[in-house]
Amino acid sequence: MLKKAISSLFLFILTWSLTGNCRADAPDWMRALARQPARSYADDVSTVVLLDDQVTTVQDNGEIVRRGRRVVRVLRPEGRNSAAIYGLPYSRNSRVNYLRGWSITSKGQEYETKPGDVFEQSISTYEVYSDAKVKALRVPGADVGTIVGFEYEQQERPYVFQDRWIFQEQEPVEQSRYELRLSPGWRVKSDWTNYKEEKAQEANGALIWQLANIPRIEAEPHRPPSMGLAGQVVFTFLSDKMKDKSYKSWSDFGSWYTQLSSGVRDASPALQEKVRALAPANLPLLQRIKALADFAQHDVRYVAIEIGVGGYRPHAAGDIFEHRYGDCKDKATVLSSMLAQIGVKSYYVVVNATRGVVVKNSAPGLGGFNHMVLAIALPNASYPNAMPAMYDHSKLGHLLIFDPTNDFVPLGQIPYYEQDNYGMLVDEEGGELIHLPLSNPESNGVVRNARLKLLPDGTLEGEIEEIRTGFEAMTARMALQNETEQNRRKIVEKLVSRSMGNFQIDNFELVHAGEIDKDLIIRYRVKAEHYAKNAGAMLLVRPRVVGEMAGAWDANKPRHYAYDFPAPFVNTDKVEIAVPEGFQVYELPEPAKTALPFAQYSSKTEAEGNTIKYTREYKMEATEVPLDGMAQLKTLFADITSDEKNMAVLKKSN
Amino acid sequence: MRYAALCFFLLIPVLAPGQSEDWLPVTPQDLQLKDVPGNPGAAAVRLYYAHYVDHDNFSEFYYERIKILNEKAVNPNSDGKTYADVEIPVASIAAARRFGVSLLVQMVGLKARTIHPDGSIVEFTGKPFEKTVYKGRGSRIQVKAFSMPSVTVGSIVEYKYRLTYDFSIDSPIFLGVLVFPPAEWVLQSELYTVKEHVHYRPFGGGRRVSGAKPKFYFDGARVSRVAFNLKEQPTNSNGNESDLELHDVRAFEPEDYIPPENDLKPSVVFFYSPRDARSIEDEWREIGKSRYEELEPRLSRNRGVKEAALQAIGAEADPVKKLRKLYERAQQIRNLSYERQLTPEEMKRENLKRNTGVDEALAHGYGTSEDITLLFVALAHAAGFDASVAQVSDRRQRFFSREWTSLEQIDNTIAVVNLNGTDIFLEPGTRFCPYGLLRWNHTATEALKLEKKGGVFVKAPPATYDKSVTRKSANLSLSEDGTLKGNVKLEFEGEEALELRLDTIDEDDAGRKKTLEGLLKEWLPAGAIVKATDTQGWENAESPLVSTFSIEAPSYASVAGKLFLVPACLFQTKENRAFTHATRKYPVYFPYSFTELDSVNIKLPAGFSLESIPHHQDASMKFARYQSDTQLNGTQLVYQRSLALNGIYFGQDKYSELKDFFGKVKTSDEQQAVLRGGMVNAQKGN
Repeated sequence: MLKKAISSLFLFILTWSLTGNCRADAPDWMRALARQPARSYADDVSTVVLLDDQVTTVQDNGEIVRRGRRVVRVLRPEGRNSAAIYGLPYSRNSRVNYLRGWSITSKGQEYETKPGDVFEQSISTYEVYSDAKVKALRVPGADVGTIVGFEYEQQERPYVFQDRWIFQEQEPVEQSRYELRLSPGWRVKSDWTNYKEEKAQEANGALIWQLANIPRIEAEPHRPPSMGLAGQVVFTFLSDKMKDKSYKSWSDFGSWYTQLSSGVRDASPALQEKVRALAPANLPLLQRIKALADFAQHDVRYVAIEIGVGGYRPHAAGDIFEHRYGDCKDKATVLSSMLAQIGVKSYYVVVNATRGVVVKNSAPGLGGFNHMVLAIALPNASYPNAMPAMYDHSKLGHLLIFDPTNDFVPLGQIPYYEQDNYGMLVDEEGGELIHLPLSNPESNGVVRNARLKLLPDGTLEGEIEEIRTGFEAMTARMALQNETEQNRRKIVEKLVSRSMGNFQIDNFELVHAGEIDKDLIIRYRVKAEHYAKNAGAMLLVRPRVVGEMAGAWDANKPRHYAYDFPAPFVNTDKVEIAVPEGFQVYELPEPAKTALPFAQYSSKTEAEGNTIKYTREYKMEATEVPLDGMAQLKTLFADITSDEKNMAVLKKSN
Repeated sequence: MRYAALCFFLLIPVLAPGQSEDWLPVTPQDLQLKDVPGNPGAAAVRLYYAHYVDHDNFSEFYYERIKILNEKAVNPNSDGKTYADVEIPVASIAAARRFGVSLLVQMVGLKARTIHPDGSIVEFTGKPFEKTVYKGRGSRIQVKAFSMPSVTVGSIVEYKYRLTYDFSIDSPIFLGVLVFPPAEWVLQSELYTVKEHVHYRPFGGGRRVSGAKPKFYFDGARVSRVAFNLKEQPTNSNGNESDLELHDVRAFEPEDYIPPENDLKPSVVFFYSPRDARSIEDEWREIGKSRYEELEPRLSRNRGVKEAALQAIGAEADPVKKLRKLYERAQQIRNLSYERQLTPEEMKRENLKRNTGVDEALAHGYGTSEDITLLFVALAHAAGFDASVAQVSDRRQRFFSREWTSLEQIDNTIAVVNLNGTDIFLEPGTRFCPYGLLRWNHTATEALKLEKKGGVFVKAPPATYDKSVTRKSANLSLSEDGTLKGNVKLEFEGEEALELRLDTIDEDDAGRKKTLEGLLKEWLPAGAIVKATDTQGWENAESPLVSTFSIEAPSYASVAGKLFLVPACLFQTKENRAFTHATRKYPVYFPYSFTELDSVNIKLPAGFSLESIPHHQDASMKFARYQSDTQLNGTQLVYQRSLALNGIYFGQDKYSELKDFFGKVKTSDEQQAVLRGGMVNAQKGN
C-alpha cells in the first residue's frame, strides 16, 4: 500500500515539480544557434548536437573546473526525452556548482529553468550502495524542432589528473569544442583515439580544439562497443609540484594502484585459519590454488559498496572474508590474500568487462576500466598441461589469469569477454598493459548429436544431445544452472521451438550443470508431429533438425564497423534420421562449403542404407571480422541460412 | 513548521492478539530444507512472510524469512537484485505542498540476521545505506539498502521492519484518494512460501498522538474486503480486523499470454465504503449516483453545444448517421490525453486551461479524454439521443469484480447511446477509436452506466474476430537462385489498426515505417530485407491502416537434387509462442479476437513444372478456424489463407486443444510446393 502511495506521489511530483514557474529568457548564444539553418540528416536521426563546448580549467592546486554548454536540436519525436534531460555526475570528491537549461521551440517560444528545478538521483546500478549521484534537469518545451540548451559548472578534486573529451556520440555532433586553461606550472599531454589528431589553437593562454560535423556511431548488431569506437582525447595534466597524481604511463598507474591498495591484502587470523582448512599443505599446489579459487568464486558473493575512492580501492581482505561479500576487486583481493598464505604470488589485473574498450594503443588511464581479475604466478612444476588462461610474462613467469567474479568459468579458463582483451597488470614495479590470452577454436563450441526416426506420418522422434565447451558452456550455464528444473526445460523448449512446431520434449537432463570444470551436456528426447511434410507421394524432411548457426545481420542497412564474436569456436552437428518403412531417399541437398580466411562452414547430407546422415561444421577463428571482411561474412551467413533450410525428399517405395 | 513537525511523531503500535513481531524460532525443518516441494532447483524458498497493515497506527509491518537454496539466490539478477540484499523504499514528499499534501514514510525497527546451516546466527549490526531515487523541490525518495552478512548457500536470511507514514492533507481534492489507497494482501510471490501471516486493521479513529491528524471525510466508514483467487477465508478479529494464515503457497511463475497477474495471484483488497450501504447493488448505485452528480455540472455547462450538434448533423436524417457525425465532431477536439504531458509553464504558454464544462471543451477546441467523452454525450443529448456516460473497467489491469465496490476499479469513461432499444458503446475519448468500436481493454467487461438515480450495470460487448482484421497480400517473383522479391501490402482494421495507431502515436513517419517493417519481419522468414514504401491512414480512424513494402527473401526456395522446393505460405503465424511448452499452469489469454487473411502470388521462374502442390488445409476448434489453399495458375503459385480466433480466454483444460490447433496451423504454414526442371541452382545462388 505504501509503495503504491509513494509511486503515485512520485509521478505527481515529477509532473509538477520538475519545472517551476520560470521566466523565459534564452541566452544569446542559444538564440544564435537557433537561427542557424537546420541541416538534413538520415530519417532515423532523432537529435543532433549543435554544440558541445567545454572549458576545463586546471587550478594551481590541481582542482579541475569544467564549464560547459550543450545544445541539442530535436529532430524526431523519439528524441524528445533524451534531449530534454541533462545530467552531471558527482560524488564525494566532486560537485556541480550550477546547472541551467533553456529551450527555444520551433514557434519561437522560450523556456528557462530555475535552480530549484535541479533534481538528484543515485546512479548506482549493480552496487548495493555507491555515493555516485547525478544532478539533472529537465527542460520544458522539447518537441520536434525545439533547441534545448544547458550550461553548467562542475568542480572536482581528481584522484588522477586526467580529463577525457569524448566528442563522438550516438547522434551526430555539428560542433564540439574543448578549451583548456592551465594554471602556471601545469602542462598537458593529449592522446587521441579513433579520430585523426587535431592541433590545438592558442588564444589568450588557453588551448582550444574544435571539431565539426562528427558522424554518429551507428547501431549495428555485434559491432564493437561504443566506447571502443567513439572519437575521444585523454588529457593528462602534469605538474612538477604535484607529481603524485600525474601519470604518464601504465607503469605510473600501476605504481599508483599499488600504493592505493597497499595493505588491503593483509590476512586476518580467521582468513589464515580458513586457508589451512581449505588448502592443507599436503595437497599438490595446483589443487590448493583451486580450492582457494573456488572459495573466492563461490563463497564470497558479489556485492558492491563504493564510497569515495572505494570505486578503485578494494576493501580489506579480513573484512571481505568476515562478511563473505564484495565486488570484483574485493573477490580478487581475498583470493590474493589467501594465495599469499600458501606462498603463491598473485597480481591485480584491471580490465574492462567488454572487449574493445581498452585496446593496445589506449592512452594510459583508469577511465576505461570497470573490472578486476587476478594473475596467479604458477611455478612450472605445479601444473601438468598448458591452460587457455596462461599468460607468459617475461619477468613474472607463468601467470594464470583467473576471474573470481564469474561463477561459471573454472580455474584455467577466462571468460570470453576478457579473452583477446587488454588489462593493466599491477606488480611491485608498477604496471603494464597486457594482452590477455585468446582460446583456440577447439576450446569453445557445441557438438550436437541427434539420433532420430521418422514415422510414415511425418512424425520425427528420437534423442538429441548437445555437448557445450568453453564459452558455450559458460553462457548455457548462466542461462540454465540456477533455474528450476521446470524453467530449464522451458528454456530448451523455447530454443527448439525456433526450429520446429508441435513438438514435445521428454527425458530432459542437464549433465555436469554444477561441475564447471566439465563440459555441459544437454540431453533430451523430442517428438515432433508433422515434422516432415507431405507433398503428393513424397515426404519433405529437413535434415538440419535444430540449431541456427548464422549470426544476426541487419540486411536493411550497410555495415559501418567490424563484426564481433565472443571467441573462436567450432560447432558441429551430426544428425541421423532413420527413413520410415515404405519410403526411400529420392533426392538430397547438395553439400555446402564456404572457406574464408577467418571461418569455414561445410555440410553434407548422405543416405546410408535407410538412414539420412547430415553433418556440418562451422569454425570461426577470429573474435572480430574487420569491416573489409563484411561481404565475405554476409556470404557465409547466407550460405549457412540456405543450408539450414534445405530439404531431403523421400518417396514411397513401389 | 507544521510539516517539519511531522518528523517528530511517536508511534505507539498496538498489536492484535496473534500478531507477533518477534523472531520466530528456527526449526530443524527450516535448517534441513534443501529443495522446494514440486519445484526442484528453485533458487530460494520463503519460509515465512508477515505483512501487517495497520491503518489505525499508520504503519505496516513486514517480516521475511528466506532460505538460500542455490547460488542464483545470491547472484544479482538482470535488475541487480539478490535475496541477500534488501532495498526498502522510504520517502519524504512535500512537493505537493501547493495542493496541501505532504507525505512522510519512514522505516523503523529494522532487524536482520543470517542463520547458518549449523544454526549459528550472525546479526546485521550495520546501518542501511540510503540511496537517493529522487531529490528535488523539498522532496526526497530513497531506498534503504543493506546486505545480509555471511550469506552462503544453505543460509537463512531474515529481516523485519515497520514502515510508518504520515500524510498531511489540507485540500479537499485529495481526501480519500491519498489518505488510504486500497490496502492489499498479495499472497503469492516469486518464491514458494511455507507459511505466511497477514493482518489488516482499518482506521478506527487513530490511536496515536499527532499534531497534524488528518481529517477523514469517511470518518466512521465501513471497511470491506474482497478476495481474489483465494480458497481460504480471512478470519475476523477485534471487530473490523482481518487475519489470515496460509501454508505452502506455490511460487508465481508467469507464462506468455496470461491474464493480468492481479487475477492470478491470490490477494485480498480492503477498502472503505459508506456506512449506510445495505448491499453491493446499493453501493454501486450510490457510486454511480455520486459520479453522475460529479459529472452532471460539467455536462450542464453546455452553451453552444446544441448549435454545434445541429451544425455537425446538417441535413442528415438517419439516426445512426447523425450519431456518427456527432462522434466525428467530438473527436475533432484536440485530445490532450494522448499528447506529451505538458508542464504548467507549457500549458500557460499555450494558453491551455482546465475545462470546467463541455462548453469550454467545445470553445477551446481541446480537452482530456474525459472532456471529449462528455462533450460527445452532451452533443448527443442536444440532438435528442438517449446518451449516458459509463464507467468501465480496464482488463489490462484486472478483471472486474462486483464485490469490490470502488470507482477505482472502473476509472475509464465511455459513452453509451440507446438507439431503438439497443445500447451502442462508443469511445470518443480514445484517440483514433472509430465509431462503433471500444478499445479492447474495455470490451467483454461490465460498465456502470451513470444515471441520476444511480449506476446501472451494462455489458460492454466483446470485440469479435471480425472487429480486428489483418490482411496480408503479396505479389512476388521467385528467381532461379531461390530468392523471392516483390511487394507486400498490409492492411489493418479495427482493434489491430487502433492499437498500431496508439502504439506509434509519438512516432513520426520514419518511426512508423520502422515499426511496421519490424512487424512484417516477424511474419517473414529470417533474413528477409524489408523496406516500407508507403503508409496511409494513420490519422483517419475510420479507414484501414494500409502499408506497402518491397521485400527480398534470399534462399526462400531450396533445392534437393532435381527438385525445387517453394514454401507456399510466406507469412508465419506468431501466436505459436504461446504453445511452446507441453504443459500450462495458467489460462491462455489473448487481448482480443482476430482474423488474418493472407493472399500470396508467387511468379515461378520459367522452365519449371509442378511436381506437387500442398493440399487444401483445414483445421478448426470451437472458437477458431484455419484454412489454406494453394493453386498453380499458369506460372503463378497462388496461395490463400485465413485464420480466425473468436475467443480471448481459454482455461487450462483447453490448452492441449489450442496447442494442437496452432500446431496444425504451423504445420500447414510450412507446406511446400515441389517443382521440377529449370536450371536448378538455388543453393549456389550466394
